[in-house]
Amino acid sequence: MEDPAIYGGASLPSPSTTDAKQRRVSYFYEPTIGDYYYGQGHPMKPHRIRMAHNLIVHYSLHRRMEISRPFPAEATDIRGFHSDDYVDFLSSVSPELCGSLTSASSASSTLDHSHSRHLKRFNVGDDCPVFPGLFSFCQASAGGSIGAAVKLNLQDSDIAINWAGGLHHAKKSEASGFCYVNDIVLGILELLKYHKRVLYIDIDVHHGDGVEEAFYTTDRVMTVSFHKFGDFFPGTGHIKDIGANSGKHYSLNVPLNDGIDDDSFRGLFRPIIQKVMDVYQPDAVVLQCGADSLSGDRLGCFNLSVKGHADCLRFLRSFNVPLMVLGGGGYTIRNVARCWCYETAVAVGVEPDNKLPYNEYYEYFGPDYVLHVEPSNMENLNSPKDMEKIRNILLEQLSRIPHAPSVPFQTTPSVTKPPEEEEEDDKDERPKPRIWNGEDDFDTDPEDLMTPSKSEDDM
Amino acid sequence: MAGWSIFDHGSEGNCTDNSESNELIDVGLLSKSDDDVKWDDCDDNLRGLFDQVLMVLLRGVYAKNGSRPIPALLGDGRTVDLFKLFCLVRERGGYHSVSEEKLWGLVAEKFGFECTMCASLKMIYYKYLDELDQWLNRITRDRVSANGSYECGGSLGLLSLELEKRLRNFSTDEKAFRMEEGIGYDKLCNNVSLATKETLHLPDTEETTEVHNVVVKFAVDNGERLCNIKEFAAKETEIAIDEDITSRKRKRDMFGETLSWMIELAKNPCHASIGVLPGSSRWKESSHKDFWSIALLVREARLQKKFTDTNDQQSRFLQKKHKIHPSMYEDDISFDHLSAEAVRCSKRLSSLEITPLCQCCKSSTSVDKCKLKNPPDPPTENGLQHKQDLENADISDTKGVAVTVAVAVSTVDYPVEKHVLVGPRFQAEVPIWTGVISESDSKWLGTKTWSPELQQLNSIKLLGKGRRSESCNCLLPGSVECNRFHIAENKMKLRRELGLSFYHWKFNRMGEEVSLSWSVGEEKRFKHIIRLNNTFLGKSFFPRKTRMELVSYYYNVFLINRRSYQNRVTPKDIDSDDDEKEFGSVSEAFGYRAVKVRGSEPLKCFQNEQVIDFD
Repeated sequence: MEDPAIYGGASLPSPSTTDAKQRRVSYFYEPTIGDYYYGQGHPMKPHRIRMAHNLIVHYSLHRRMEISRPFPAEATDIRGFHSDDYVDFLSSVSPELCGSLTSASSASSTLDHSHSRHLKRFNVGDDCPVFPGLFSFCQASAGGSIGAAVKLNLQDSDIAINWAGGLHHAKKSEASGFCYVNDIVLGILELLKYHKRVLYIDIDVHHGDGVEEAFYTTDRVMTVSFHKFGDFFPGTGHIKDIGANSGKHYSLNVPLNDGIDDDSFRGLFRPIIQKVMDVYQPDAVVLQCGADSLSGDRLGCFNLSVKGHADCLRFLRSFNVPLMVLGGGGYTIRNVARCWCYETAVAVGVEPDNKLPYNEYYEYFGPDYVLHVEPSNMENLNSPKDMEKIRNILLEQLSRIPHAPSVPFQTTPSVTKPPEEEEEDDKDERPKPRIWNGEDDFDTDPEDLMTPSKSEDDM
Repeated sequence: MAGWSIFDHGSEGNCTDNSESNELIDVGLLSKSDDDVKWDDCDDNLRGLFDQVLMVLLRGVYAKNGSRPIPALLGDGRTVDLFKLFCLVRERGGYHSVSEEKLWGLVAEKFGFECTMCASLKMIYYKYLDELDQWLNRITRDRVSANGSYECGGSLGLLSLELEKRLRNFSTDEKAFRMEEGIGYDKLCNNVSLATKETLHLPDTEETTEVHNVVVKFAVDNGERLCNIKEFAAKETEIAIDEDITSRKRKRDMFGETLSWMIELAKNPCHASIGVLPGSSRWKESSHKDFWSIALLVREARLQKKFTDTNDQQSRFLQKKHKIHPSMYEDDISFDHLSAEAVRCSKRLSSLEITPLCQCCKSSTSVDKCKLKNPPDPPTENGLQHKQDLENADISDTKGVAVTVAVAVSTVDYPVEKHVLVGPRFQAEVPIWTGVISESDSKWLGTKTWSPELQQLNSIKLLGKGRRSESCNCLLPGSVECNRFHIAENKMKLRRELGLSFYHWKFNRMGEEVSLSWSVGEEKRFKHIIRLNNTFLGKSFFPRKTRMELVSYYYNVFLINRRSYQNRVTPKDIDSDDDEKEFGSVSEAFGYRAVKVRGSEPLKCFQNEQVIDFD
C-alpha cells in the first residue's frame, strides 16, 4: 500500500498511464432493481440503476470487477439503525393497506386508523409513497451497501460500489426525500466493526441530512456534505452545523448556490477533502455520488459535468483508502446512467470512449449518443469570493480537529478538548497557510490528463 | 374538529382578504391579487384611509362594547371586506334605508354570498360600521346630496375628500390613544411577537409551516401614510397594527371567548385586563378557569390528538417540512395554495421594506429591521422555553434533548431554520472503538454473479470501447432500424461473452424485446392510456399483465419509442423523465413515421430477427 501522504492529492489514473496500483473493485447489482416503480410522475426511478448497469457491461467494465447480487437485508439487520416500530411498519405496509384507506369506506376499522396515523408519523405519503415491493427494494438497497462494507472489511476489495444505495435522507424512524432505509448508515455501521474512523462524503445536490444526523454526536464518523443550501430540500446543512457532543467538529457542511460548475466545485472539494484526509485520517471512506448535482438534473440546480462529478471519486481513489461508492439522487435518468457508468470506469481505472456502445437503452442517450454531456451555460451564482469565504471557514473548522488521534482507545472528550482551547489562540494565523497548502494540491494536480482524454473522446 | 377545518379554510382567505393586506396592496407596492377587480380599482388611498379611520374608531368602540376582530368574519369563516360592504350600503342609502327596503339580500349577492348570509352581513355592518356611518353623517351632513347616497367610483372621490379632511382630527385622537396606553412602540412589538408565538403551535405538521408563514405581523408607520398624502408630513405617529391570523378564527363554541382573549392579547398585549401569565411551572396546576390555561389546553389537545404516540416526532414536526419535489403533487391544492399564499405575504412585506417612499418611511424601515434582527427578546425566549418544557413534560421516556429547541421566531421572511436533532431517537448507536473486531457475516457478500477470472484474456483490449464508427452497411445509418440492428448485434455478442451472467442480470428483459410478449392491440391500448393521462397501472386496463410487466414495458419499450421519436423529430427538446410529458411518440402526429418500424416492412437489416431469440 502506498502511503497516502506521498500519494494523496496527485492521483489520476488515466488511459495512458494507469494507476500504479490497480484497485480491486466489487460491485453490487440487484437484477430486479429496475422494475421497482415509485409511481407515475414520481421522479425517483430505480430503472436508472439498470440503465447504468447496462452501460457498464456494454463498456466491458465488468471485466475488471467482481459483481455480486446483494443479500437482502432482513428487518433485524435494518433495526441496526432504524427504530423497531418504523421497521415493523416498513416491512408490513403495502399499497393495498393504503388503498383500503383511501377508498374511505365509512366503516374504517381501527386497523386502518392506526395505519393512517403511521403513514403520517413515519412521513410516508407524498415524497415517499408506498409502492408494491417497497420493502424488498429497501432490502436490496441496504443489502448492497452492507455487502459493500463487508467486502471492504474483509479486504476483499479496495473499492466497493452499490449504485442502488446512497439513500441519505432516511432518518432513524422516518422516511424522507424518497428514502426509506438509510443504507449508508447501515453500511457505515458495518465498516465501524473493522475500522476506527470512517469518513462520509456526500456530493448529492441535497444535503445528506440522514447520515449527518445519525452520526452527529460521534467522532468515529466524520460527515462532509456538499449541497445546495437555501430554500431547498431538506433545509438542513448550514455551514455552522458542525456536530455535537463528542461529535463536535466532525460534521462538515459545504453550502453551495445554484449553477456551480466543475472548476468551482473542484476548487472547494479538493482542498477540503485533502485537509480532511490529512487531519482525520479515516480508515475507510464512503462516497455518496448522488447524480442530481449534474447539469440539467430534473430536481437539481448545479452545473457539473459527468467528469467534474467523477473527479470527486477520482480524487478519493488516489488516497488508496478502502472506498465505498454509493448512488443517491439523480432524476434525469439518462445522465444518471452516464455518470455512474463513468464513475465505475474511474473506479476500475479505465477511460471509456465518449461514443456509447450500442446498448439496449441506446435511444435514451440520443440525439448524440455520447457518454459525456456538456454543462449548460447557466449562471454560476457562486462567486469566487463566496467560495473562498466558505473554504476559509471550513478549513478553519477543520483545524479545530485534533490531528488524527494517535493514541488508540482513548475516550474522545479528553482528546478533543485541549486542542480546542489551544486553537482559540492562533486561529487567526492558521487558516491561511492551510488553504494554500490545499490549493497547491489542487494546482499541481495533473489537470492535463483530463484534456487529452477529452480530445480523444471528441474524435 | 370541524371548527378547525373552518379555521384552515378561513386562514386561506384571510391572507388575501384581510383589510391590512389590502392596505398594503393599496399603498401601491404590489399588484393586486384579488379577484374582485371593481373593488380593487377603487382609489387605493381611499381604502387605506378607510381602514385607518375604522381602526381608530373600533379601538374606541370595543374598549366599551367588546372586541371587533379585524377582518370581520362570517359564521363560516369567510371574511367580509368592510370597505366594500360600507360602500355598497352607502350606495343604497345607508344602513337604515337598506334595512327598510330589504336590500341586504342584494348586498350579500354582490359579495357572492348566499342570501341566507344577509342577516350576518347586517350584523357585521351594525357592529363594525355603524359607528363610522354615524360619524361620517355627523361631519358631512351639510355636504351629502339630498338623497344621502354615495356611489362607488365617481363620487367616491367625495368620500375620499371627506376622509382626508377629517384625518387631522384622527391623528390627534390617535395620539391620545397612544398616550393613554402608555406603551412604547418597541415594547408593544415585542409583546406582540410573544403573543403571536403563544398561539402559534396549534395546527398539525404541515400547517405549522404554513401558519407560521401566514402569521403576518405588520408594523405600519402611520406617519408614512400621512406623508403620502403630503399634508401631514410633520406628523409622525407610529401605530403598530399587528395581526395574528391564527387568532382571527372565530368559532361559535366554548372556545370562542378564549379566542377573543387571545386576539386581545395579540393586539394589545399589555392591557391590564389580560393579567399576568404565570410561569410554566404553574401551568399544570392551574384550575383551567383562566383564558390562558384554556388556551394552553387547546394547544395541548391539538398536539395530543394528532400525534398521540408520536412522541419521538415532536421535535421534528416543529421544524419546517420541505418536500423534495413539491411541484409534483399538483393535486395537493391546499398545501400549494397556502404556501403560495405565504410566499406572497412575505413578499409583500419585504417589498414594503425596501421601497423607500420618503424619509419618515425609512425611519420606520430601520425600526423594522432591527426588530427583525433580534427577534428573541428575553420574555419571548422564556415563552418559548416554557412551551418546550410543556411538551417535554409529556415525553417522560425521553432522554433526548433537542440541541436547538428554538424554532426560529422569524416574523416575516426569515425562514424557519432547521437544526440537527440530538438524542437516542435520532442518532445511530455507535459503539466505542475497542480495537476488537467483531466478525462481519459473510452472507453479506451475496451471490457472486461475475468475477474477473471468468474473462478471456484476449478480450481485455476492448475495455471501455464505445461504438466503432457511424458508417455501417445499413441502408439508413442512424435510423431506428439501423440502431436496432446494432443493438441486437451487440446483445448477441454480450450473451455469448457473459454466458449465464447474461440471464442473471436479466439482460433478456432489457430493451425493446420486452414488447414481444405484447400484442399489437395491447401496445396500442397502452399508448392510448398514456395519452389520456391515465396511470397505466390501473388494474382495469390490463387485467392479464402484472404490475412488473407494465413497468417493464413502460421503461423498455414505451419510453425508448418516445425517445427515438424525440431524437429524430425534436432533438432540441428531449426528456426521458417527465412521465406526464405529453408529446412524443404517443400521438400519431407529424414525424411519427420517422420512428415507426413495426409493420413498416421490410426491416432493413434482416438480422434484426435475432431479437426474437431472446424471448
